[in-house]
Amino acid sequence: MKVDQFIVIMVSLLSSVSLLVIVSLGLALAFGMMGVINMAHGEFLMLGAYFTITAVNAGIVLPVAILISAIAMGGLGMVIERIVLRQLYGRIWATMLATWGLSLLIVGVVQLVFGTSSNGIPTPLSTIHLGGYMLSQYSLVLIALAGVLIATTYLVFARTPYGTMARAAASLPEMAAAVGINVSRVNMITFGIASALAGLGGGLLAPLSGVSPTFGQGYIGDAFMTVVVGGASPLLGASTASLLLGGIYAGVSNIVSPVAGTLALLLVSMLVLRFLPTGLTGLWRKARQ
Amino acid sequence: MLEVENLVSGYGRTNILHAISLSVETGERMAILGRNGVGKSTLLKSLIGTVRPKSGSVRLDGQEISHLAAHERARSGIAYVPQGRDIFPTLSVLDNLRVSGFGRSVRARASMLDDVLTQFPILRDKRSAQGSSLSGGQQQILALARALMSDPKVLLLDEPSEGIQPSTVDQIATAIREMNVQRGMTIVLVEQNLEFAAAACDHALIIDKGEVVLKLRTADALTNRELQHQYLGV
Repeated sequence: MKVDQFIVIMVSLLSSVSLLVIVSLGLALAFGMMGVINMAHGEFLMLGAYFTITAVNAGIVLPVAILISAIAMGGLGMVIERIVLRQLYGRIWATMLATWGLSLLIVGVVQLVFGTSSNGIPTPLSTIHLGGYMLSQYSLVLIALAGVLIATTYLVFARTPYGTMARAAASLPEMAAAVGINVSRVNMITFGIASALAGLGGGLLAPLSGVSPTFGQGYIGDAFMTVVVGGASPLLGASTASLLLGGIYAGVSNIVSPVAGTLALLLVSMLVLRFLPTGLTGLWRKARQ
Repeated sequence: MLEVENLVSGYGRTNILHAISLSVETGERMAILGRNGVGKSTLLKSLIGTVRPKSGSVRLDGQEISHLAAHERARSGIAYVPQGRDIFPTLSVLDNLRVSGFGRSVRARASMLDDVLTQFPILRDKRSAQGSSLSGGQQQILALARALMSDPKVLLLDEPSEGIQPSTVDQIATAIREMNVQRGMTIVLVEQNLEFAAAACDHALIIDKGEVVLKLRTADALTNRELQHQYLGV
Protein backbone atom coordinates (compact mmCIF):
# COMPACT_ATOMS: atom_id res chain seq x y z
CA MET A 1 0.00 0.00 0.00
CA LYS A 2 1.28 3.44 -0.85
CA VAL A 3 1.59 6.15 1.77
CA ASP A 4 -1.05 8.41 0.23
CA GLN A 5 -3.56 5.58 0.02
CA PHE A 6 -2.86 4.64 3.63
CA ILE A 7 -3.38 8.21 4.81
CA VAL A 8 -6.65 8.49 2.88
CA ILE A 9 -7.95 5.27 4.39
CA MET A 10 -6.95 6.38 7.90
CA VAL A 11 -8.70 9.71 7.41
CA SER A 12 -11.87 8.04 6.19
CA LEU A 13 -11.73 5.67 9.15
CA LEU A 14 -11.29 8.52 11.62
CA SER A 15 -14.05 10.42 9.82
CA SER A 16 -16.50 7.59 10.46
CA VAL A 17 -15.42 7.44 14.09
CA SER A 18 -15.74 11.19 14.58
CA LEU A 19 -19.18 11.27 12.96
CA LEU A 20 -20.39 8.64 15.41
CA VAL A 21 -18.96 10.61 18.32
CA ILE A 22 -20.61 13.81 17.10
CA VAL A 23 -24.06 12.26 16.63
CA SER A 24 -24.07 10.09 19.75
CA LEU A 25 -22.35 12.05 22.55
CA GLY A 26 -25.46 13.98 23.65
CA LEU A 27 -27.58 10.84 23.56
CA ALA A 28 -24.97 8.92 25.57
CA LEU A 29 -24.77 11.68 28.17
CA ALA A 30 -28.54 11.86 28.75
CA PHE A 31 -28.71 8.08 28.99
CA GLY A 32 -25.62 7.51 31.12
CA MET A 33 -26.05 10.41 33.53
CA MET A 34 -29.83 10.56 33.82
CA GLY A 35 -31.20 7.24 32.53
CA VAL A 36 -33.14 9.19 29.88
CA ILE A 37 -33.49 7.53 26.48
CA ASN A 38 -34.11 10.57 24.36
CA MET A 39 -36.13 9.44 21.34
CA ALA A 40 -36.08 13.05 20.11
CA HIS A 41 -32.27 13.09 19.87
CA GLY A 42 -32.40 12.90 16.07
CA GLU A 43 -34.77 15.86 16.02
CA PHE A 44 -32.42 17.77 18.33
CA LEU A 45 -29.69 17.18 15.73
CA MET A 46 -32.11 18.34 13.01
CA LEU A 47 -33.02 21.51 14.92
CA GLY A 48 -29.34 22.24 15.45
CA ALA A 49 -28.81 21.90 11.69
CA TYR A 50 -31.76 24.22 10.92
CA PHE A 51 -30.57 26.82 13.43
CA THR A 52 -27.14 26.70 11.80
CA ILE A 53 -28.30 27.10 8.20
CA THR A 54 -30.75 29.84 9.23
CA ALA A 55 -27.94 31.71 10.96
CA VAL A 56 -25.56 31.22 8.01
CA ASN A 57 -28.23 32.43 5.57
CA ALA A 58 -28.62 35.48 7.80
CA GLY A 59 -24.95 36.27 7.17
CA ILE A 60 -23.33 34.80 10.27
CA VAL A 61 -20.09 32.86 9.74
CA LEU A 62 -20.38 29.10 10.12
CA PRO A 63 -18.41 28.54 13.37
CA VAL A 64 -20.41 31.23 15.16
CA ALA A 65 -23.65 29.88 13.68
CA ILE A 66 -22.84 26.40 15.02
CA LEU A 67 -22.08 27.83 18.47
CA ILE A 68 -25.38 29.73 18.45
CA SER A 69 -27.18 26.47 17.57
CA ALA A 70 -25.50 24.68 20.45
CA ILE A 71 -26.45 27.42 22.92
CA ALA A 72 -30.03 27.61 21.60
CA MET A 73 -30.45 23.84 21.84
CA GLY A 74 -28.95 23.88 25.34
CA GLY A 75 -31.56 26.41 26.43
CA LEU A 76 -34.36 24.50 24.73
CA GLY A 77 -33.15 21.28 26.37
CA MET A 78 -33.31 22.87 29.83
CA VAL A 79 -36.87 24.06 29.16
CA ILE A 80 -37.85 20.56 27.96
CA GLU A 81 -36.27 19.02 31.08
CA ARG A 82 -38.28 21.37 33.29
CA ILE A 83 -41.62 20.92 31.48
CA VAL A 84 -41.53 17.27 30.37
CA LEU A 85 -38.73 15.10 31.74
CA ARG A 86 -38.61 16.02 35.40
CA GLN A 87 -42.09 14.62 35.91
CA LEU A 88 -40.98 11.26 34.53
CA TYR A 89 -37.63 10.34 36.12
CA GLY A 90 -37.26 6.66 36.88
CA ARG A 91 -40.04 5.74 34.44
CA ILE A 92 -38.05 4.79 31.39
CA TRP A 93 -41.02 3.87 29.17
CA ALA A 94 -42.85 7.07 30.00
CA THR A 95 -39.69 9.03 29.16
CA MET A 96 -39.32 7.24 25.84
CA LEU A 97 -42.97 7.85 24.92
CA ALA A 98 -42.81 11.49 25.93
CA THR A 99 -39.62 12.17 23.98
CA TRP A 100 -41.00 10.27 20.99
CA GLY A 101 -44.07 12.51 21.09
CA LEU A 102 -41.72 15.46 21.35
CA SER A 103 -39.87 14.31 18.23
CA LEU A 104 -43.16 14.26 16.25
CA LEU A 105 -43.98 17.72 17.55
CA ILE A 106 -40.57 19.09 16.53
CA VAL A 107 -40.86 17.59 13.03
CA GLY A 108 -44.35 19.09 12.67
CA VAL A 109 -43.26 22.55 13.77
CA VAL A 110 -40.18 22.51 11.52
CA GLN A 111 -42.33 21.46 8.54
CA LEU A 112 -44.65 24.40 9.24
CA VAL A 113 -41.84 26.90 9.55
CA PHE A 114 -39.32 25.70 6.96
CA GLY A 115 -41.43 23.48 4.68
CA THR A 116 -40.63 19.91 3.72
CA SER A 117 -38.01 20.61 1.07
CA SER A 118 -34.32 20.21 1.67
CA ASN A 119 -32.17 23.23 2.48
CA GLY A 120 -28.43 23.36 2.51
CA ILE A 121 -25.25 25.33 2.86
CA PRO A 122 -22.04 24.58 0.99
CA THR A 123 -19.34 22.53 2.68
CA PRO A 124 -16.76 25.00 3.97
CA LEU A 125 -13.02 24.86 3.34
CA SER A 126 -11.51 23.25 0.28
CA THR A 127 -9.87 19.96 -0.49
CA ILE A 128 -6.27 18.87 -0.20
CA HIS A 129 -4.63 16.95 -3.01
CA LEU A 130 -2.63 14.02 -1.74
CA GLY A 131 -0.99 11.95 -4.44
CA GLY A 132 -3.87 10.76 -6.58
CA TYR A 133 -6.46 11.42 -3.87
CA MET A 134 -8.46 14.34 -2.56
CA LEU A 135 -9.16 14.97 1.10
CA SER A 136 -11.82 17.33 2.40
CA GLN A 137 -10.39 19.75 4.93
CA TYR A 138 -13.76 19.88 6.68
CA SER A 139 -13.57 16.18 7.52
CA LEU A 140 -10.17 16.82 9.13
CA VAL A 141 -11.79 19.60 11.16
CA LEU A 142 -14.57 17.22 12.25
CA ILE A 143 -12.01 14.62 13.37
CA ALA A 144 -10.20 17.21 15.48
CA LEU A 145 -13.46 18.55 16.89
CA ALA A 146 -14.68 15.09 17.88
CA GLY A 147 -11.50 14.71 19.94
CA VAL A 148 -11.95 18.15 21.45
CA LEU A 149 -15.59 17.35 22.32
CA ILE A 150 -14.66 14.15 24.12
CA ALA A 151 -11.80 15.82 25.98
CA THR A 152 -13.92 18.82 27.00
CA THR A 153 -16.82 16.68 28.16
CA TYR A 154 -14.38 14.52 30.13
CA LEU A 155 -12.86 17.57 31.81
CA VAL A 156 -16.28 19.01 32.66
CA PHE A 157 -17.47 15.79 34.28
CA ALA A 158 -14.21 14.70 35.90
CA ARG A 159 -12.72 17.99 37.05
CA THR A 160 -15.43 20.54 37.81
CA PRO A 161 -17.66 20.75 40.92
CA TYR A 162 -20.70 20.52 38.66
CA GLY A 163 -19.34 17.32 37.08
CA THR A 164 -18.67 15.69 40.46
CA MET A 165 -22.16 16.62 41.60
CA ALA A 166 -23.68 15.28 38.38
CA ARG A 167 -21.88 11.94 38.76
CA ALA A 168 -22.95 11.69 42.40
CA ALA A 169 -26.56 12.52 41.50
CA ALA A 170 -26.46 9.96 38.67
CA SER A 171 -25.44 7.09 40.94
CA LEU A 172 -27.32 7.79 44.22
CA PRO A 173 -29.78 10.69 43.86
CA GLU A 174 -31.12 10.50 47.44
CA MET A 175 -27.67 10.45 48.99
CA ALA A 176 -26.63 13.26 46.65
CA ALA A 177 -29.49 15.38 47.98
CA ALA A 178 -28.48 14.47 51.54
CA VAL A 179 -24.97 15.91 50.98
CA GLY A 180 -26.45 19.18 49.75
CA ILE A 181 -26.70 18.69 45.99
CA ASN A 182 -29.71 20.22 44.25
CA VAL A 183 -30.35 17.13 42.14
CA SER A 184 -33.18 18.68 40.18
CA ARG A 185 -31.00 21.61 39.07
CA VAL A 186 -28.07 19.32 38.26
CA ASN A 187 -30.36 17.22 36.04
CA MET A 188 -31.57 20.33 34.24
CA ILE A 189 -28.00 21.39 33.51
CA THR A 190 -26.99 17.88 32.41
CA PHE A 191 -29.87 17.63 29.95
CA GLY A 192 -29.01 21.14 28.78
CA ILE A 193 -25.43 20.03 28.04
CA ALA A 194 -26.67 16.87 26.29
CA SER A 195 -29.02 18.98 24.16
CA ALA A 196 -26.29 21.51 23.42
CA LEU A 197 -24.06 18.67 22.21
CA ALA A 198 -26.89 17.52 19.92
CA GLY A 199 -27.32 21.07 18.63
CA LEU A 200 -23.58 21.34 18.04
CA GLY A 201 -23.61 17.96 16.26
CA GLY A 202 -26.48 19.01 14.00
CA GLY A 203 -24.68 22.24 13.21
CA LEU A 204 -21.46 20.42 12.33
CA LEU A 205 -23.33 17.97 10.09
CA ALA A 206 -25.42 20.64 8.34
CA PRO A 207 -22.81 21.45 5.65
CA LEU A 208 -22.35 17.76 4.79
CA SER A 209 -25.83 17.04 3.46
CA GLY A 210 -29.19 18.62 2.71
CA VAL A 211 -31.17 19.58 5.79
CA SER A 212 -34.84 18.56 5.79
CA PRO A 213 -37.31 17.79 8.61
CA THR A 214 -36.30 14.12 8.38
CA PHE A 215 -32.58 14.97 8.73
CA GLY A 216 -32.36 13.38 12.19
CA GLN A 217 -33.55 9.98 11.00
CA GLY A 218 -30.41 9.56 8.93
CA TYR A 219 -28.25 9.64 12.05
CA ILE A 220 -30.42 8.40 14.88
CA GLY A 221 -29.89 4.69 14.11
CA ASP A 222 -26.10 5.07 14.27
CA ALA A 223 -26.38 7.17 17.41
CA PHE A 224 -28.51 4.62 19.24
CA MET A 225 -26.33 1.73 18.14
CA THR A 226 -23.22 3.52 19.42
CA VAL A 227 -24.82 4.20 22.81
CA VAL A 228 -26.13 0.64 23.20
CA VAL A 229 -22.81 -0.93 22.22
CA GLY A 230 -20.94 1.55 24.42
CA GLY A 231 -22.94 0.85 27.58
CA ALA A 232 -23.79 2.94 30.60
CA SER A 233 -20.60 4.97 31.04
CA PRO A 234 -21.34 7.88 28.70
CA LEU A 235 -17.91 9.11 27.68
CA LEU A 236 -15.92 5.91 27.70
CA GLY A 237 -18.81 4.01 26.14
CA ALA A 238 -19.46 6.50 23.36
CA SER A 239 -15.80 6.88 22.48
CA THR A 240 -14.87 3.18 22.50
CA ALA A 241 -18.05 2.21 20.64
CA SER A 242 -17.42 4.96 18.08
CA LEU A 243 -13.89 3.68 17.59
CA LEU A 244 -15.03 0.08 17.17
CA LEU A 245 -18.10 0.68 15.02
CA GLY A 246 -16.64 3.56 13.02
CA GLY A 247 -13.46 1.59 12.44
CA ILE A 248 -15.32 -1.48 11.24
CA TYR A 249 -17.66 0.50 9.04
CA ALA A 250 -14.89 2.46 7.37
CA GLY A 251 -12.60 -0.55 7.06
CA VAL A 252 -15.17 -2.81 5.40
CA SER A 253 -16.52 0.07 3.28
CA ASN A 254 -13.08 0.75 1.89
CA ILE A 255 -12.20 -2.86 1.24
CA VAL A 256 -15.60 -4.15 0.02
CA SER A 257 -18.42 -1.62 -0.27
CA PRO A 258 -20.45 0.80 1.89
CA VAL A 259 -23.35 -1.68 2.01
CA ALA A 260 -21.02 -4.36 3.35
CA GLY A 261 -19.71 -1.78 5.83
CA THR A 262 -23.21 -1.18 7.19
CA LEU A 263 -23.79 -4.93 7.38
CA ALA A 264 -20.53 -5.46 9.24
CA LEU A 265 -21.42 -2.68 11.67
CA LEU A 266 -24.77 -4.34 12.46
CA LEU A 267 -23.17 -7.75 12.79
CA VAL A 268 -20.50 -6.51 15.19
CA SER A 269 -23.12 -4.67 17.26
CA MET A 270 -25.15 -7.85 17.57
CA LEU A 271 -22.08 -9.87 18.52
CA VAL A 272 -20.99 -7.33 21.13
CA LEU A 273 -24.44 -7.30 22.72
CA ARG A 274 -24.74 -11.09 22.58
CA PHE A 275 -21.54 -11.52 24.60
CA LEU A 276 -21.51 -8.21 26.52
CA PRO A 277 -25.12 -7.32 27.28
CA THR A 278 -23.99 -4.28 29.28
CA GLY A 279 -21.94 -2.96 26.38
CA LEU A 280 -18.22 -2.30 26.07
CA THR A 281 -18.22 -0.37 29.35
CA GLY A 282 -19.44 -3.54 31.07
CA LEU A 283 -16.30 -5.34 29.92
CA TRP A 284 -14.12 -2.55 31.24
CA ARG A 285 -15.91 -2.61 34.61
CA LYS A 286 -15.49 -6.37 34.85
CA ALA A 287 -11.79 -6.08 34.10
CA ARG A 288 -11.30 -3.51 36.87
CA GLN A 289 -12.92 -5.69 39.52
CA MET B 1 -31.03 22.35 69.39
CA LEU B 2 -33.00 19.91 67.28
CA GLU B 3 -36.71 19.76 68.09
CA VAL B 4 -39.23 17.41 66.58
CA GLU B 5 -42.89 17.96 67.36
CA ASN B 6 -45.84 15.74 66.43
CA LEU B 7 -44.03 14.49 63.35
CA VAL B 8 -46.09 12.16 61.16
CA SER B 9 -44.16 10.41 58.42
CA GLY B 10 -44.09 7.24 56.34
CA TYR B 11 -44.25 5.86 52.83
CA GLY B 12 -47.28 6.15 50.56
CA ARG B 13 -50.41 5.81 52.67
CA THR B 14 -48.63 3.95 55.47
CA ASN B 15 -47.58 6.04 58.45
CA ILE B 16 -44.55 4.75 60.32
CA LEU B 17 -44.13 7.63 62.74
CA HIS B 18 -47.28 8.68 64.59
CA ALA B 19 -46.91 12.18 65.98
CA ILE B 20 -43.44 11.60 67.40
CA SER B 21 -41.91 14.35 69.52
CA LEU B 22 -38.37 14.61 70.82
CA SER B 23 -35.61 17.11 71.34
CA VAL B 24 -31.84 16.87 71.32
CA GLU B 25 -29.82 19.64 72.94
CA THR B 26 -26.97 21.29 71.03
CA GLY B 27 -23.79 19.33 71.64
CA GLU B 28 -25.61 16.30 73.01
CA ARG B 29 -24.86 12.73 71.92
CA MET B 30 -28.19 10.97 71.70
CA ALA B 31 -28.80 7.37 70.72
CA ILE B 32 -32.18 6.29 69.36
CA LEU B 33 -32.92 2.69 70.29
CA GLY B 34 -35.76 0.33 69.51
CA ARG B 35 -36.71 -2.89 67.81
CA ASN B 36 -36.52 -3.45 64.07
CA GLY B 37 -39.30 -1.65 62.23
CA VAL B 38 -40.30 0.87 64.91
CA GLY B 39 -39.39 3.74 62.62
CA LYS B 40 -35.86 4.69 63.61
CA SER B 41 -34.55 4.91 60.03
CA THR B 42 -37.73 6.67 58.90
CA LEU B 43 -37.15 9.24 61.64
CA LEU B 44 -33.64 10.01 60.36
CA LYS B 45 -34.84 10.17 56.75
CA SER B 46 -37.60 12.55 57.78
CA LEU B 47 -35.01 14.72 59.54
CA ILE B 48 -32.64 14.93 56.54
CA GLY B 49 -35.62 15.20 54.18
CA THR B 50 -35.26 12.25 51.81
CA VAL B 51 -38.66 11.25 53.24
CA ARG B 52 -40.96 14.27 53.38
CA PRO B 53 -42.97 14.43 56.64
CA LYS B 54 -46.76 14.54 56.27
CA SER B 55 -47.32 16.85 59.20
CA GLY B 56 -45.63 18.14 62.30
CA SER B 57 -42.58 20.26 62.80
CA VAL B 58 -38.79 19.89 62.71
CA ARG B 59 -36.80 22.84 64.06
CA LEU B 60 -33.04 23.34 63.98
CA ASP B 61 -31.93 26.09 66.40
CA GLY B 62 -35.47 27.47 66.32
CA GLN B 63 -35.71 27.50 62.49
CA GLU B 64 -38.52 25.46 60.96
CA ILE B 65 -36.97 23.14 58.35
CA SER B 66 -39.68 20.53 57.73
CA HIS B 67 -40.77 22.26 54.49
CA LEU B 68 -37.22 22.30 53.09
CA ALA B 69 -35.92 19.85 50.47
CA ALA B 70 -33.13 17.48 51.51
CA HIS B 71 -30.34 19.49 49.85
CA GLU B 72 -31.51 22.66 51.61
CA ARG B 73 -31.59 20.89 54.97
CA ALA B 74 -28.08 19.57 54.32
CA ARG B 75 -26.88 23.11 53.59
CA SER B 76 -28.59 24.41 56.72
CA GLY B 77 -26.34 22.18 58.82
CA ILE B 78 -27.58 18.58 58.94
CA ALA B 79 -25.39 15.70 57.77
CA TYR B 80 -26.50 12.12 57.31
CA VAL B 81 -24.67 8.79 57.35
CA PRO B 82 -27.24 6.32 56.03
CA GLN B 83 -27.63 2.64 56.71
CA GLY B 84 -25.51 0.80 54.16
CA ARG B 85 -23.33 3.94 53.92
CA ASP B 86 -24.28 4.90 50.34
CA ILE B 87 -20.78 5.78 49.24
CA PHE B 88 -20.91 7.11 45.66
CA PRO B 89 -19.51 4.01 43.97
CA THR B 90 -18.04 5.56 40.82
CA LEU B 91 -16.49 8.55 42.57
CA SER B 92 -12.98 8.48 44.00
CA VAL B 93 -12.50 8.76 47.75
CA LEU B 94 -11.46 12.39 47.32
CA ASP B 95 -14.52 13.19 45.20
CA ASN B 96 -16.77 11.47 47.72
CA LEU B 97 -15.40 13.91 50.28
CA ARG B 98 -15.38 17.01 48.07
CA VAL B 99 -18.94 16.48 46.88
CA SER B 100 -20.23 17.06 50.38
CA GLY B 101 -18.39 20.36 50.80
CA PHE B 102 -19.57 22.27 47.73
CA GLY B 103 -21.88 24.40 49.86
CA ARG B 104 -18.81 25.95 51.48
CA SER B 105 -16.10 28.32 50.31
CA VAL B 106 -13.13 26.90 48.42
CA ARG B 107 -10.79 27.75 51.28
CA ALA B 108 -13.00 26.23 53.99
CA ARG B 109 -13.38 23.13 51.83
CA ALA B 110 -9.65 22.70 51.32
CA SER B 111 -8.80 23.13 54.98
CA MET B 112 -11.57 20.73 56.04
CA LEU B 113 -10.36 18.18 53.50
CA ASP B 114 -6.89 18.40 54.99
CA ASP B 115 -8.27 17.98 58.54
CA VAL B 116 -10.35 14.98 57.54
CA LEU B 117 -7.47 13.24 55.75
CA THR B 118 -5.28 13.81 58.80
CA GLN B 119 -7.93 12.45 61.15
CA PHE B 120 -8.51 9.38 58.95
CA PRO B 121 -5.11 8.46 57.42
CA ILE B 122 -6.62 5.42 55.67
CA LEU B 123 -8.56 7.82 53.44
CA ARG B 124 -5.36 9.63 52.49
CA ASP B 125 -3.81 6.30 51.48
CA LYS B 126 -6.89 5.41 49.43
CA ARG B 127 -7.66 8.88 48.13
CA SER B 128 -7.61 7.95 44.45
CA ALA B 129 -9.44 4.63 44.82
CA GLN B 130 -13.03 4.29 43.65
CA GLY B 131 -15.60 4.37 46.45
CA SER B 132 -16.87 0.92 45.49
CA SER B 133 -13.42 -0.66 45.93
CA LEU B 134 -13.23 0.11 49.68
CA SER B 135 -14.03 -2.49 52.33
CA GLY B 136 -17.15 -2.09 54.48
CA GLY B 137 -15.23 -0.58 57.37
CA GLN B 138 -13.30 1.80 55.12
CA GLN B 139 -16.58 2.86 53.49
CA GLN B 140 -18.05 3.57 56.91
CA ILE B 141 -15.09 5.77 57.79
CA LEU B 142 -15.46 7.51 54.43
CA ALA B 143 -19.17 8.05 55.10
CA LEU B 144 -18.34 9.66 58.46
CA ALA B 145 -15.63 11.80 56.89
CA ARG B 146 -17.97 12.81 54.07
CA ALA B 147 -20.53 13.98 56.63
CA LEU B 148 -17.79 15.95 58.40
CA MET B 149 -16.90 17.80 55.16
CA SER B 150 -20.03 19.95 55.34
CA ASP B 151 -19.13 21.00 58.91
CA PRO B 152 -22.64 20.20 60.14
CA LYS B 153 -24.33 21.27 63.36
CA VAL B 154 -26.16 17.97 63.60
CA LEU B 155 -24.90 14.56 62.51
CA LEU B 156 -27.45 11.80 61.90
CA LEU B 157 -26.07 8.24 61.86
CA ASP B 158 -28.04 5.13 60.93
CA GLU B 159 -26.50 1.95 62.33
CA PRO B 160 -22.85 2.74 61.56
CA SER B 161 -21.71 -0.44 63.34
CA GLU B 162 -23.71 -2.78 61.12
CA GLY B 163 -21.57 -5.35 59.31
CA ILE B 164 -18.27 -3.81 60.42
CA GLN B 165 -15.45 -5.74 62.10
CA PRO B 166 -14.94 -5.04 65.84
CA SER B 167 -11.67 -3.08 65.62
CA THR B 168 -13.20 -0.65 63.13
CA VAL B 169 -16.36 -0.38 65.24
CA ASP B 170 -14.26 0.95 68.14
CA GLN B 171 -12.56 3.40 65.83
CA ILE B 172 -15.94 4.67 64.64
CA ALA B 173 -17.29 5.11 68.18
CA THR B 174 -14.15 7.09 69.05
CA ALA B 175 -14.51 9.22 65.90
CA ILE B 176 -18.14 10.02 66.74
CA ARG B 177 -17.20 11.12 70.26
CA GLU B 178 -14.33 13.22 68.90
CA MET B 179 -16.54 14.99 66.37
CA ASN B 180 -18.88 15.86 69.21
CA VAL B 181 -16.23 17.00 71.67
CA GLN B 182 -13.86 18.79 69.27
CA ARG B 183 -16.36 20.34 66.89
CA GLY B 184 -19.41 20.61 69.11
CA MET B 185 -21.51 18.57 66.72
CA THR B 186 -24.84 17.29 67.97
CA ILE B 187 -25.03 13.54 67.42
CA VAL B 188 -28.20 11.54 66.72
CA LEU B 189 -27.34 7.86 66.45
CA VAL B 190 -29.79 5.13 65.50
CA GLU B 191 -28.53 1.73 66.68
CA GLN B 192 -29.44 -1.90 67.25
CA ASN B 193 -26.10 -2.61 68.89
CA LEU B 194 -26.56 -1.41 72.47
CA GLU B 195 -22.88 -1.68 73.39
CA PHE B 196 -21.88 0.47 70.46
CA ALA B 197 -24.60 3.00 71.32
CA ALA B 198 -23.29 3.16 74.89
CA ALA B 199 -19.71 3.59 73.65
CA ALA B 200 -20.70 6.50 71.42
CA CYS B 201 -23.53 8.21 73.31
CA ASP B 202 -24.38 9.12 76.90
CA HIS B 203 -28.15 9.27 76.55
CA ALA B 204 -30.75 7.33 74.63
CA LEU B 205 -34.34 7.67 73.55
CA ILE B 206 -36.29 4.47 73.21
CA ILE B 207 -38.83 4.34 70.40
CA ASP B 208 -41.70 1.90 70.28
CA LYS B 209 -44.63 1.86 67.81
CA GLY B 210 -43.57 5.16 66.26
CA GLU B 211 -43.34 7.11 69.52
CA VAL B 212 -40.71 7.94 72.13
CA VAL B 213 -41.47 5.91 75.23
CA LEU B 214 -38.42 6.50 77.42
CA LYS B 215 -35.33 8.63 77.84
CA LEU B 216 -32.44 7.23 79.85
CA ARG B 217 -28.68 7.00 80.24
CA THR B 218 -27.13 4.44 77.88
CA ALA B 219 -25.14 3.05 80.84
CA ASP B 220 -28.43 2.23 82.57
CA ALA B 221 -29.83 0.60 79.43
CA LEU B 222 -26.78 -1.69 79.33
CA THR B 223 -27.54 -3.16 82.79
CA ASN B 224 -31.33 -3.26 82.59
CA ARG B 225 -32.20 -6.71 81.20
CA GLU B 226 -35.93 -6.22 81.57
CA LEU B 227 -35.90 -3.03 79.53
CA GLN B 228 -33.73 -4.65 76.86
CA HIS B 229 -36.20 -7.49 76.61
CA GLN B 230 -39.27 -5.27 76.51
CA TYR B 231 -38.14 -2.60 74.01
CA LEU B 232 -35.06 -3.82 72.19
CA GLY B 233 -35.93 -7.45 71.56
CA VAL B 234 -32.64 -8.60 73.06
